[in-house]
Amino acid sequence: MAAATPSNPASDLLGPADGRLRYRLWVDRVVRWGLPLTFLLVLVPLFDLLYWVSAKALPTFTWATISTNPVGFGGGLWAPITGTFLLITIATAISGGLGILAGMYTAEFAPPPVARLARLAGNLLAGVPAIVVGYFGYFLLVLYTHWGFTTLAGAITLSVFMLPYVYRVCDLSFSSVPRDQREAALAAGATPRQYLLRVAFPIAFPSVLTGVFLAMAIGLGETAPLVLTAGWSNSPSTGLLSTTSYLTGVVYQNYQFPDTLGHLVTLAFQAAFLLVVIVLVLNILVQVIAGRYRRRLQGLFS
Amino acid sequence: MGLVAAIAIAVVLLLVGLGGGYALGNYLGSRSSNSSSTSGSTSYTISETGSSLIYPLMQLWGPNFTKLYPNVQVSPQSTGSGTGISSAESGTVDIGGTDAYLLPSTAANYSLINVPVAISSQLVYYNLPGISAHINLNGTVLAMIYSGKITNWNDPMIQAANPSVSLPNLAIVPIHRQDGSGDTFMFTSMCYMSWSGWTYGYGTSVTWLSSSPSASGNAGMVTTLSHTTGGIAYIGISYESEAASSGLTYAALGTQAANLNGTNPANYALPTTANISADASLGLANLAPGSVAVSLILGGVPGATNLQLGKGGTMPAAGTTPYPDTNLEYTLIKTNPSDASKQKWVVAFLEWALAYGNSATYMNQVHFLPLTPAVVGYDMQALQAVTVSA
Amino acid sequence: MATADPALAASPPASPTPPAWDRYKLLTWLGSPLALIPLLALLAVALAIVSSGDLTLLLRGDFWSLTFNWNPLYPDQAAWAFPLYLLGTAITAGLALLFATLLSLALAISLTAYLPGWLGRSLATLTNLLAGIPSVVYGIWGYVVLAPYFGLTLQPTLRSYLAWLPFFGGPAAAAAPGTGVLLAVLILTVMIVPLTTAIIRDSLANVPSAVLEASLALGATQWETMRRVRLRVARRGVMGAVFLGFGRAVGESVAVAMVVGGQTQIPPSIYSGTTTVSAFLLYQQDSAFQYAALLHALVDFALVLLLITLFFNFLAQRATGERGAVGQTSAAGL
Repeated sequence: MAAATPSNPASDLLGPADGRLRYRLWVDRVVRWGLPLTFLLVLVPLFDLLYWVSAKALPTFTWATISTNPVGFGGGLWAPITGTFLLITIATAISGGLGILAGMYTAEFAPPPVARLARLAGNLLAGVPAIVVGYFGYFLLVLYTHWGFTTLAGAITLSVFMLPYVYRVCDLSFSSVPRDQREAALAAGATPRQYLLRVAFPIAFPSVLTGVFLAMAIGLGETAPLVLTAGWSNSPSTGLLSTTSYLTGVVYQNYQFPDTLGHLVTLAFQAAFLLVVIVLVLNILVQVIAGRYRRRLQGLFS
Repeated sequence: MGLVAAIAIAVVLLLVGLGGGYALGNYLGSRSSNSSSTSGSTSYTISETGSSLIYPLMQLWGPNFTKLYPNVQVSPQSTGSGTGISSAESGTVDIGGTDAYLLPSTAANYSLINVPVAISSQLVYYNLPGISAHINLNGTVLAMIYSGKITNWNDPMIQAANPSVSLPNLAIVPIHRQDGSGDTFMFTSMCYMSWSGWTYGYGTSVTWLSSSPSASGNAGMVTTLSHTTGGIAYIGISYESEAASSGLTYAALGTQAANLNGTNPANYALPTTANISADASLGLANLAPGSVAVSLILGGVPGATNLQLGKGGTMPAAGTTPYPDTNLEYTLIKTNPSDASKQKWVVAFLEWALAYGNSATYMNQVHFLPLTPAVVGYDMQALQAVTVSA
Repeated sequence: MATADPALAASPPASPTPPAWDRYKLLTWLGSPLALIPLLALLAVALAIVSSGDLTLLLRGDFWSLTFNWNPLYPDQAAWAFPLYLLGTAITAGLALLFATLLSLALAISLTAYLPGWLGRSLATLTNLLAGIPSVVYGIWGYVVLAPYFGLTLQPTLRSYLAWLPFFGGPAAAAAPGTGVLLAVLILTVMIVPLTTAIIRDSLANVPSAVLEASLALGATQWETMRRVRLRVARRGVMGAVFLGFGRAVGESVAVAMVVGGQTQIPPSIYSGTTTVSAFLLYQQDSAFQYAALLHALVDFALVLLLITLFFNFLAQRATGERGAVGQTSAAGL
């Protein structure tokens, strides 16, 4: 750090008349050392949350917590785990498929006015509150379709919420494929399809993948869209048109129970713990892929 | 007096005979023998959503029914009575659970029937340091507290009903549910029927005094009240042990007579099994056969408008005082289901629940009381109207 | 998709503009709907809400009244007090945004100018972790862990020292102890800080270094360069962060509903409870399914909430350019 402060030696040369400059340098140094301390304000809540979620969840966390279904005032998390997995798989398939298609098209083919409109819509969609998406799902997929509360309604609602995240990252990934690549492909006589699949897609793919993982992490943690659409089931979902449970729902339904009532609050914390762990793993995956992606791009340019 | 009681007992016994016999006959009758032939060939998941009070009962019933019929699973969800009603109306669930009956005319519009499955009650808790006695409160006093007309625990109206308790000079903090709730429906019904000055109506969600604090869920009520000195809150009886372990005490509530004469201690009832049953038999007496849709609040006091009331009048058994904050827990099912072969199992499940699940073994675990045999009989009769596939 | 296409190697270009690339133009127009999938989804959401509500209610006085009145017996006399919910939303989201913006500025400046690369990267990763934690986990942490501490320790302490300040001396939270404006603001702040930090950091990093070097060469200290030059050049990004953060804070329902208390009132102090539009949508959902009038009002609440969040997201996009701020930062794993 000392090497990065070239103004320090200068301050030793200042005379008594340079009060103004002395003050300016003093402020600079206070800011230099003081501002990074604000990270404590972020790190303290983060570690406090991680500590308490672990402390409340782990002491009674056994294999049965994962392998059994919720029963009465206790039980385990098997059905919610499978439900979350099912919901996220379907929602990722839908939002991933549509998001990548739309993102690729926006970046590669769409005429500028269309692309502008599409990007605006993507950004606006990302800002729609989860609870509003939930009401959309309730009116359209629960009532209008007469499906009732179903896994499918929950997954589609979730996919609407996840779509813009995949879409925007995908759009960006394809847009950042260097123009040279495209010109080179054209010069070599490639068809647009060949260019897309064999040139652009391999370059953009790792970045697209981070977008998909990001969307999965976001979908995984949502509660409001599912409360209004997915129903609830204490046993693993038996099909797309049956109800399902999910981890965030365990937290939301049980967080208020007094400790005396079975171990529902503990179960809620155990579900919260699993959620945090899965999100952490997804985050690490994103970081790893993003890191490799950066290296690959660097290799491309060097 | 004695004659009336004797007639009442005779009527009850007759209904026990009719209802019980009917129940068993129906349950073991042609329907289930038909269904057992298809048993195991197709699996069904019966979905239930609604009242958080019914939820634990369904959690108990479901696995036991599945033991008998492994091809049928019951999946209850704790959402709220409103969701239970609307989901049953739209046909998005097989069973809607609700603390409030659906008006028969509305039910008919949606081809639904009310099928009561249990008797529940609600306790009124308070947080008064140093007072462990069950103080006497009646509907009028509670309505005035929640209307802001009575603001201190040493108010003459409360003190008059509790001559042996020295009530503190402490502000009353009435706590209500912020989320829509069947408990709010029960409590506001009682206020509405008790005091003519009550202006907030009744329902699962009403406007309260703006100064009244709120909590969400029964569990939230317990937590909030235990931290609010001078607070008062209405809490479903399922939470009795939680409230007790939080050091809260519940009140003895006044009958309809207590609303007229609040100082007579004989007009107050503790929520004992006998007292709750007394109120239920008051409200359920002389019902017409068919789908049961009545309020048991204050034993179904005559005179209140808008509420669908029992044809009350039966006097309680000797030594009991009807506990007024009592309610039937309802399920709603379609009489013209889209999937008649599944509906057969929905009906079978409810019939099983009424015939065998309606016992103290199950009910005690969730602090409910079994239905009276008469209601079971009417339920069984109402279930006959449901279209099921042979 | 991955089938090998020997044509790529086999066929030499037949003409300067191969026919495939002419078809490409056609594809450009014919395939336009593909790009508009997000727009279709947005329209579907908006249409589902609009068609389920009672739009005339938005124009009536009872929607905009200042007292909440809902008596199920007289649904036609209902008054929805929407301004109160709006105010509760503005207070919680606004305060959270104020703190989050200040904190994000400090964090983003530290990351771009003052912290060595390895430390900055680790701290940025940790901050991003906050963005990934589900809102319901924030909610249970706030309700079970923080609320008792707030109610029993922090609020009495604040009150005893700061009672002379407006809003700091009022009555304690009357709802579940500790829940209320203060806790909701804290939770919301922690939730939106990663988002605003990433956007501000991104826009600071995009300031051309020539501009900064010019400032330093004129004798400005590093802090003066940051404050007077870099932040000024990056101000659109900061604005984008503010708008986007506000949209996110306004729309958060689950975490806020769990810790905000829930009273329909203008909070007399920072310790007391209030409610927000999003939290109301979650609380009253069950009752609304029972009463048609309540449901109509609720859907209108959802509609106005949708419009507000769309408006702020639109502003954010205007401030940060075509792809929007998150489009840029999300590639970094946020």
